[in-house]
Amino acid sequence: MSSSLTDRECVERCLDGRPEAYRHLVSRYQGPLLSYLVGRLGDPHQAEEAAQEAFVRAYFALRKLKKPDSFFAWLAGIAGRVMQEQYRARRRQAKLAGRVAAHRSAIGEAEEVELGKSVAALPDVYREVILMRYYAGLSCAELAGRLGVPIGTVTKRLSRAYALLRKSLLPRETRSEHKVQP
Amino acid sequence: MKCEECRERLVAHIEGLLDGAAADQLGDHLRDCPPCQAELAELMQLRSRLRGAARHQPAASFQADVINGIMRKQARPIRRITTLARRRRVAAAIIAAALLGASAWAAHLAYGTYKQYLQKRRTRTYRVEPATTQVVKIRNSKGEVVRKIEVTHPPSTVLVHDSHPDDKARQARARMEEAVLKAAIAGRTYKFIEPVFPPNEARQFAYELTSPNGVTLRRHFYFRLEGIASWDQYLKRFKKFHVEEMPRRQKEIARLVSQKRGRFLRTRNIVVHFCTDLAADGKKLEVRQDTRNGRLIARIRPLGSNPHQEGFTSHEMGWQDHLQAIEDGLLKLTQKQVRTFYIYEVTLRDGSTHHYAGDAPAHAEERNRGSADRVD
Repeated sequence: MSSSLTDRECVERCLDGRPEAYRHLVSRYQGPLLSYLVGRLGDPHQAEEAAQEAFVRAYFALRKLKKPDSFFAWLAGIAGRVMQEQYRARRRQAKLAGRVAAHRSAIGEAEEVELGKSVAALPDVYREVILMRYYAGLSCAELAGRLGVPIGTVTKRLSRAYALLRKSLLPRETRSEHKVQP
Repeated sequence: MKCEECRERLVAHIEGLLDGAAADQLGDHLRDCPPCQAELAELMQLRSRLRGAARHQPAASFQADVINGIMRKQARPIRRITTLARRRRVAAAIIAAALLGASAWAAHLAYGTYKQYLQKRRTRTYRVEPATTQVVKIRNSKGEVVRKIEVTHPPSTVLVHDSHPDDKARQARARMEEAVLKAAIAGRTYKFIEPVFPPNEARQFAYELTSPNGVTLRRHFYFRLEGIASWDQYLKRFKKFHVEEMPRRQKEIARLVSQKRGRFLRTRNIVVHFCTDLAADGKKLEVRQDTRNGRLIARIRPLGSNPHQEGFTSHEMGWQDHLQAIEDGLLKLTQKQVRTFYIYEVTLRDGSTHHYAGDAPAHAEERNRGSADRVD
């Protein structure tokens, strides 16, 4: 299924009036984006809804994309905003329906969600490398090419991102361990 | 090696980026240092968690849903466009005033470059006439006027595509021309001569421009509309169009073909495959495969349309991407037909020869067998 077109070529074709190229971007990043959103939301259905909306919005905002090689990181940013909007809308509906507040799903406390939230909370530079390395499955060399930086910079950013992730994951996990203990 | 140094290199080590000596050095240190081993183990654990998180796959219909979402959003009510158009007109008026006041120099630059371009490349003509009302005549393939439309708002988007997108200088010129066209449209100093629908039958599209410094120019374009599949859409989205220049050589070929001055060479059978996957969008993808070299040529047109009257040009809807999509297995070809094409050769003024596929010649079989060299 992989296409020979690069992200940049796909974006340029779309902007050049050939919207079919967008199919390649969708097929390339639908899995990674969904994984990222499931990691943040915990619910695959809600995540899929948000991912679709993010792709649609991204299509109409392609002209604003400054670095087409970082399409996925940019898309993930849009998806994050879509997710927050949908979360607020659901909470509003829940209030209207008489419930006190939207419940956090049981899965919301799951490990994956913690990880997803930690990734989302990373500063842009570090989130970008994590997303592109693990969710989009690029190698360090490819990442360096996309970002236009030396490979050493990529490993440094990854290293810093790991440190931040561990730092943000650690207190929550120790807290939850304390709760479990009687 | 110190622990600090080791930890700096751990990521490169995990990613397999360290060369032999450095890797050995790190390995030696790791063997003797339990804290660094623990650090490595934690990193590996985090990596496996991250890998595990990136495992979700969407439903099979995900891509189609996204495309449908885009199409729905594109087809939102015209009311909003009208409001936008009104705002845009106000903005355009402000921009036009600024342009008229301050851009004589820029216009001179554009036209100066344009003159050089004329000398070097090909003849382009501009004609300028101030116009406030537009009457657009729609012609069919026979050249008869089938409809007239009075257009009150100017088009909001003009794109000029040069025929060699790789040539940066030409792209820059195209951008300048685009800016001039936009300025002229914003100042309502243009007039459409003869836009034609359907787009692949457009022979010529002429702009008339008044430049800020009074230069008189006329320009003819070969043009096409984007994403227009019906009359209603055409009328609604009249403002969004795409201008593409018809190369001079192509014009000459078209003229020779219309005068039947081609030399009949041979017939060629082409296998035509059809794809109905786009039927939901009201379109049909037709893919031709040349039996000799296996080359694919795609063409998109509305369902139930006559390709000679209502068809879209082959590149209208991004046919290359459809071909890619077929190769990727996203689109399936479901029907097959064999068609015969009659190949002609025309000789241009510069001596170059070109082939084209035309109608069957009179006594095609005789010519094909006996006097293939005869000039029509």
